[in-house]
Amino acid sequence: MNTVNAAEALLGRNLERRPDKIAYVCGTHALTYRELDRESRRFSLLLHERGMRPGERALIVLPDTFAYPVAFLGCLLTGVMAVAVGTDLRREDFAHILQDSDARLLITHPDLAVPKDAAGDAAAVLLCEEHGFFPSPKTDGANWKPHQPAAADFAYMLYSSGSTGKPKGIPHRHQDLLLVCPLVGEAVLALTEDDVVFSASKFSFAYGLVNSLAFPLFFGATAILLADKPNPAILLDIIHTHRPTVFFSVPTIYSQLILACTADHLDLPLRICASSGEALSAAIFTEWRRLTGLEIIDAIGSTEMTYWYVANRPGQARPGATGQPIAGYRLRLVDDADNDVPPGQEGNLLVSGATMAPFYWNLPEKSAETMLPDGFARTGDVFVEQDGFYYHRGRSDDMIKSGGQWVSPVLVEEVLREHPEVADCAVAAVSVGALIKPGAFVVLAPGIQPTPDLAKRLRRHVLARLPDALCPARFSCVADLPRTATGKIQRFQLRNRR
Amino acid sequence: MANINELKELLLGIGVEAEVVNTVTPTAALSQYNFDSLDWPAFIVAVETRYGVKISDGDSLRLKTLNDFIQFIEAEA
Repeated sequence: MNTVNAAEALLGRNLERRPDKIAYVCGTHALTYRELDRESRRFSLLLHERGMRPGERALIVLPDTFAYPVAFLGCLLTGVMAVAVGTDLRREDFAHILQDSDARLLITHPDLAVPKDAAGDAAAVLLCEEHGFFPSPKTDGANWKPHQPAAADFAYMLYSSGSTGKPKGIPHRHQDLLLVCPLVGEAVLALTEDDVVFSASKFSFAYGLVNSLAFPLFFGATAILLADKPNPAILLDIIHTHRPTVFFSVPTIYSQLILACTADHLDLPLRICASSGEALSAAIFTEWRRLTGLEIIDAIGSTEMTYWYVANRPGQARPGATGQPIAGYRLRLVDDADNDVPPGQEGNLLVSGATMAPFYWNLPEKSAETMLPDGFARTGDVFVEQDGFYYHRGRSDDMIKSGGQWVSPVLVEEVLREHPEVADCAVAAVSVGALIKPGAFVVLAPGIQPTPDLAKRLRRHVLARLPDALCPARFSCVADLPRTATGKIQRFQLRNRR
Repeated sequence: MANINELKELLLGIGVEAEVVNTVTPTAALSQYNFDSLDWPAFIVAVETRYGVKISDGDSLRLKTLNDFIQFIEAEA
């Protein structure tokens, strides 16, 4: 049975209704819906010329410029599965993803050396040009038609950090990208074509992909893109220049914006400030509202579920609460034996919904552990439900969500143990400055004394080897680490220890 | 009591470059100096450790300049 091609659906509705409206703004450049449609089709022709066939995979490693939606939509129009990952991964992560996804083509930017180096001879490389366009196809595309996918065909795949530190692939079908628009964009955020959307989270994250691609195209809105890493000065400049109505971000960014503001009031043109990707503290919610007069709409979702499944509602947001269930998703809070727990009692959150990924790519055991036969998926998050609102209480595993990114303690510990002053270590979630951050608990090597510069040395050591989000905010020296009888580190005992 | 020079020592201790630290003034928001999402929590931890104070979530969002930190530490002493 065939299904709609998500790219064809998202482009087609705008080409008919608003071809000359601006779809994307990036810096001083703009791209209309007509231009987006044309460039995506040209990209599809390029893929055909490169010998790419429906069902094959192409890895997209690009900054957030026009090239991203063009390449992503072009892949979907061709039936090629778009494998989208961030630009700051380690060489070994790119190599693993290329091998695991069996991507035949790497689509990247000339300035990004690491993914090209990782691809080597394993995949062909297609480079974007200035302002995010691609080389012209040689054919005119007179006979070109968009691929008509079967309902079971995958449209795209994102990679998320696993507990071992190795990224795991999460494939999604065409309908997933379309279904979240009415379920969340319309029912929760009331998005319309009058909105101008700005997401600090990048396309390569599920949160950013829906914010900057599915939502604006589904509703015929305009999206602002930021190629660089966001910082308060750049974000505020964009907000004041382009006047978005909806801002999607993460608590770390809201905290940075608050700290950058020395005035008593911050005047913003926004109607919605949304937050996801990590726990939002009541302190950030309250301080942001005091400064701007705006509430932050906190929510939780996952790459596995495509997007959000619990969210606050505009005008009714509760500080400290992640929100209420979104219609279309079923939630259960269960104990460790999978029995439902009553309201007011902590439980492991299970979720089910039509936008759920069916499995992890090439990981049948992990898939069976997470995606259950009854249609529910284990989220790994612990919640309490009270009066219909869900309150996040942490994780049931050792993973840490910080700055909108998953942090595997194992990966950080491995890097720290390479340092000559470290005999052993454990990494666990700690609360610092109203945010959850990785904290390192370090057993020093024999003869090493803690000095004021130790944290600086360890921090530099980690930053030279791992993405910034994985670097511990705190390095605490301890005599030993809590372990089970079999020697396994009990990281949960270290959470929030000082 | 805390003073500007001690706090600047803490900034150096978390890895902020000396040429940046030298330009920090007591009344300017530290975020103006390109403090990122790593520097900020590291500085909060460094202040808590050095002065034996606990900076709550709410306080951490209102301490924006070195003078703010000095006043906070004095009030907590």
